[in-house]
Amino acid sequence: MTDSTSPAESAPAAPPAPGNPNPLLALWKAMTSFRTAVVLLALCMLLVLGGTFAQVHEGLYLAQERWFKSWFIFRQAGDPWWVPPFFPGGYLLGTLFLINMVCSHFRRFTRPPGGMLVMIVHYLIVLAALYGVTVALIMKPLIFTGVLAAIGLADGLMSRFLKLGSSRKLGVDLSHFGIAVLMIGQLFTDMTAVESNMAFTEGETRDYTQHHMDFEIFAETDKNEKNETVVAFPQDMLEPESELKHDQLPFVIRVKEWHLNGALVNRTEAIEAEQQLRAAMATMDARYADPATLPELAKSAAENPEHVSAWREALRGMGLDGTLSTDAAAKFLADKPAEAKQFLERLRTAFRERMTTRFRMSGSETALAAEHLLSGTPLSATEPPVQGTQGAATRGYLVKAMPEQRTMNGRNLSWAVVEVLEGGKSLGTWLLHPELRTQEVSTAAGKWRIGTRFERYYHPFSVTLLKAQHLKYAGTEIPKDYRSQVRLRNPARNEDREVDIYMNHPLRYQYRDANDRLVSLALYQQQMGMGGPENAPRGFSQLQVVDNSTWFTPYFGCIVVGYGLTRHFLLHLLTFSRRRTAAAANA
Amino acid sequence: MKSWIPLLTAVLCTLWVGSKFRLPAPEKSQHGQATRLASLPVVWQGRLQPLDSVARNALLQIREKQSLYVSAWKGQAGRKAETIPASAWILEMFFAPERADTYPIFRIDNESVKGLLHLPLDKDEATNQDGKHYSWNQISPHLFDLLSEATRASRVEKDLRNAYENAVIDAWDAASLYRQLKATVGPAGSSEELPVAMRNWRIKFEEARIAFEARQRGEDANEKALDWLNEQMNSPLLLQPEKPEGEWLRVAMHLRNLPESDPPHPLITTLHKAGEAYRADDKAAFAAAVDEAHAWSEAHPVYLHADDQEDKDPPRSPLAHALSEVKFNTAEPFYQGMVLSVVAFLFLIASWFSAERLEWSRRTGTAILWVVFGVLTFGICWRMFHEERPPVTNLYSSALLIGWGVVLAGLILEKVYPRAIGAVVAAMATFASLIVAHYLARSGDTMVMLQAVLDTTFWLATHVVIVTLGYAGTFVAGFFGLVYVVISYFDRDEDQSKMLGAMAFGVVCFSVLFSFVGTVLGGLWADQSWGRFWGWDPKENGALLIVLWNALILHARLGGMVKQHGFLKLCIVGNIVTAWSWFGTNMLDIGLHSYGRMDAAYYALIAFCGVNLIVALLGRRWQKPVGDEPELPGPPHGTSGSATVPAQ
Repeated sequence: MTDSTSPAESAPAAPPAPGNPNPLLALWKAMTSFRTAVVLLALCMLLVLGGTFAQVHEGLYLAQERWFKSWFIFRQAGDPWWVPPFFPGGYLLGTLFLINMVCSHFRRFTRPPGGMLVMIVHYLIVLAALYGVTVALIMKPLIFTGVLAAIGLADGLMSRFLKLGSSRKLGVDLSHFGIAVLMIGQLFTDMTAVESNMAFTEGETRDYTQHHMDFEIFAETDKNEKNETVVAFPQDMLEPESELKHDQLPFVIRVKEWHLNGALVNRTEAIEAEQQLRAAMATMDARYADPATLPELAKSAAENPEHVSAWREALRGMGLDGTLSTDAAAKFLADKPAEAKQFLERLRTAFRERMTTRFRMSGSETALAAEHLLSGTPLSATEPPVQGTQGAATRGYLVKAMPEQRTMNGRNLSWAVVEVLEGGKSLGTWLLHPELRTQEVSTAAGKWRIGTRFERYYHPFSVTLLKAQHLKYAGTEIPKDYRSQVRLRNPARNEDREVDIYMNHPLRYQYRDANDRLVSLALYQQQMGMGGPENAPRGFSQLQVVDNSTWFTPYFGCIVVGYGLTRHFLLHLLTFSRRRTAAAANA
Repeated sequence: MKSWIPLLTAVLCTLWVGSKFRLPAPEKSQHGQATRLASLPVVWQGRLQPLDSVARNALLQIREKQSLYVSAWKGQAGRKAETIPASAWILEMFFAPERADTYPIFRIDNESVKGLLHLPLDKDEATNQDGKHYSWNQISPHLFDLLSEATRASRVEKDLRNAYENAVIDAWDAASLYRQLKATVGPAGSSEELPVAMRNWRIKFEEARIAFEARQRGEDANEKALDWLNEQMNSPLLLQPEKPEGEWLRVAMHLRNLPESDPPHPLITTLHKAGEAYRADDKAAFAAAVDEAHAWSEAHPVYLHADDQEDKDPPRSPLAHALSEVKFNTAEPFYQGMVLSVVAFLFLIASWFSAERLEWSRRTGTAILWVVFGVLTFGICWRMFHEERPPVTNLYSSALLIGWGVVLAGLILEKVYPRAIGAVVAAMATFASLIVAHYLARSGDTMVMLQAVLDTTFWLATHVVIVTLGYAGTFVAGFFGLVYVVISYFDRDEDQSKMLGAMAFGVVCFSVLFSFVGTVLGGLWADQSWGRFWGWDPKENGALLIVLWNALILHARLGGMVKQHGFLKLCIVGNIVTAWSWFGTNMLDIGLHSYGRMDAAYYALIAFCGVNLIVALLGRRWQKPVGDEPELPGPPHGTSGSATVPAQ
């Protein structure tokens, strides 16, 4: 929206004149033209639209990575019909967009009549003032509008009475500058921000947060010892055959297997569950074997919606009226033995399906049992996989590999099989899974415990959950307020205070880490529920923790663009109304 | 000459709308006393509201209308249909449930659901059956079948459900709601003496409690008793607390904790009296009982909003609050605004035929539009004060604010260019957005309580209002495009098209500012509540599309790629982009913003986009002679830009 007072500026990128075929100049013109801007905007719109539709199939997270946080998008197998073979990704379009915007300003730059120095000073004063407003906005959201208006007034008066030549273009320049701030800030956030969470029940204290997806393998000395040592290896280091070493660790961990997702199963329990299911099915088969008992069965089925729906399914499967009541169905089948037999067969199938489904849903042991029963090979007849020679694996535990979950709500449980080597000698192999917590490793240097868990980030402060408050509107299930009352302690700063963290009111906390990097954390209320032991449940709360040092840029960018656009359009409006008044006076 | 016509019309229109706020007089009208009783406050779905609102919204859900036919239906040969309002219906539900159960109230259109419930498929004059509406008595024998099918359907994933399964779930929800409302007054609705009714109620409750415990242990339980308990425990919270800080209670909750020797809550006694009078058709006794209930409610002020007590606001009368809402319900000011905008449109269009001779017609139309603006302003402000919330809290109220924004924008432009164009756009766009609001209101209460994340005055007041006004601006520019294409078929006046281009340009500038700032503020809100500024969620992307589109057409205009002709046609496409962002994204049904979800209106959206696209394409072929330059790059015309675009 650069002012197009001079006609040459409003001209679109013309092809190079015949006498001057300089390709660099042509490129420069193409890069800085309005036409390119319009084409880029149109491409951005298509990208945003495509990225939105893609979320239906790919899920929010994957679609984001593929469409917006990428340079190119290529068509893959399984894409819906509208995905093109190739499309520029979010990063590419964003970069081109920035180049076009910045270069256009250089191309259309004219020396301000008031001189460069005045212009620079004017711009800087306004920017500094807007920065101040942003800080005010975050501190005290409600008073900032007044400050903003005061700046506008001062800027206007300054431009009017000092006759600043720079004032006409300031609005456009500011808004483009603000957009650049927003885009670059977002790019930095994408690259540097780390999300983790902090989950605890009332009374518990945490001085670390954990990643929501990535896992680590860790080893710690026995809790009883005075100086507890913990060594952790993040997910990036975990690959089959990698050797994990650390100065503090008296042994080497060799990763034999590493998988992103798996379900922990107790084989002994699974075999028991299989027997249960088999027995239940036999009872059911016997009950639904004789057509003569149909009227009786109909009577008891009528009391149970689950049974009624199985009856309907069976009726429909035979091409009969699915809305018949159970009694009516029994009466209908009374004098048709062949059909009654078929009907019972279908009923048995329906019930068997329901039983296996229920088993599948209710736990990993029962799920494994149901699977084996369906496949025909009993679990007890199969050989257990070799997943370790020590620890949990010897107590009947095994892990069933599962496909990686990639949706927002899906959760992976990464697992590993590791060999522990002390002085080159193998101590055996261990199966590690987050649900197994830690397992003991006896070494010559003492007892250690090893396991896998979500990657942890330790902080110099600790948070204690005092109370998890979850209010609902009277007589409904609509959540009204989630609120964690916490106590924040930072011994290094003698800090010990209570804070409420609730919806739309995160706790922001900054500190310098060991490498002197400024860590900007924000703790948000995320989930709430009940946790702790079953006999004495306590309030549970999960905080989302974001480490993002560029969180300030969107606030600043928004204010700069908003101010710039408002200023520019008000100026237009002023000129317009002046011209109309003049025209009316002439008429 | 004729200068008094606009003023007089405006005054008459205002008086007409004002007269709608009068409640039916209790002594004269048949339903006056019913309205008075239905003004009693209750808490339902977490919100303090009059019984009248509960009844209206329930009827909308069950019957898709706010009233019902109790005898014959409309259009039935030889019989006159008798309609009763929602407030009269809820009285029947409380005090004469046997009669209420015979009213054809359940609207069922799906043939398979009718089959499941063994309902007559077609209309039949002899049995007084219209083939669309059915009574509780017709449905209840097959309730169990309905439940088992609804249970099955609700296990099917939402996107995979077919029309029958959706209809079954709707029917079950309607039946549950019906039972919950019928249970509201508990024993107070019984025709027995109150002590007897209460004793019987306690016996039933004890049976239900035993059944409930049996169910907990996994044993066979008395399903009927459980059903009864379920409806008792989910009914509206009828009993107003005696102390300001007390809790509103369901009748069942109150009686459960009440020692047998103690007297029940005064409202139960009063309502029982009212019920006896109602059944005996004793108008004086009924009026006395209603007065007693009103007096009791008035004498016991409560904290209307949850934070009142913290903010040290005094407790207030819930009855006054509820009465104000009943008046608003009765007057339906947004509906009246819709009617008036049609009248204004007719006056304004008439003036197009002869600008000079029919100038009075233009002025009259504009004056009526000012009344519309006043009515909308009043309505929106009333809602704000009543809810103690910023103007936009849900999809419905965003439609109201868009209506308000477009009528204001159109009237300002009409002031600048008095050519009956800005006002016509205002009338059209207001009517359209009020129609949208009207249909959105069918999905139930328009003032539902806000989920925790939305419960913030600051962000609702800034982000939501600004982004909604951005939508309004884009629609106004789009309607200018539509008007331009239509006019160009009749009148090829170059000045006219330049003026339209100038107005649309101004509006687009406004929309780019508001949509941009509104969208970014949304990001800041997300940063405050979830820890991320931008998450590419469908609603965010939709808002971004509007910003990108407005920026695109501005740059195309400034770069000389389009002149006013092309610009106005691009504005029409803006209608499509905005409609997508407003409604289309809710239909995708993913992401964190899907609280604005809606099922219907899908075809309406497609039709709206289709019409806009067709008009945008139609404009092209006919337009060359209307002072339009070729769109290919050529020698720039030094003067063309500055004459059409304001302030260059």
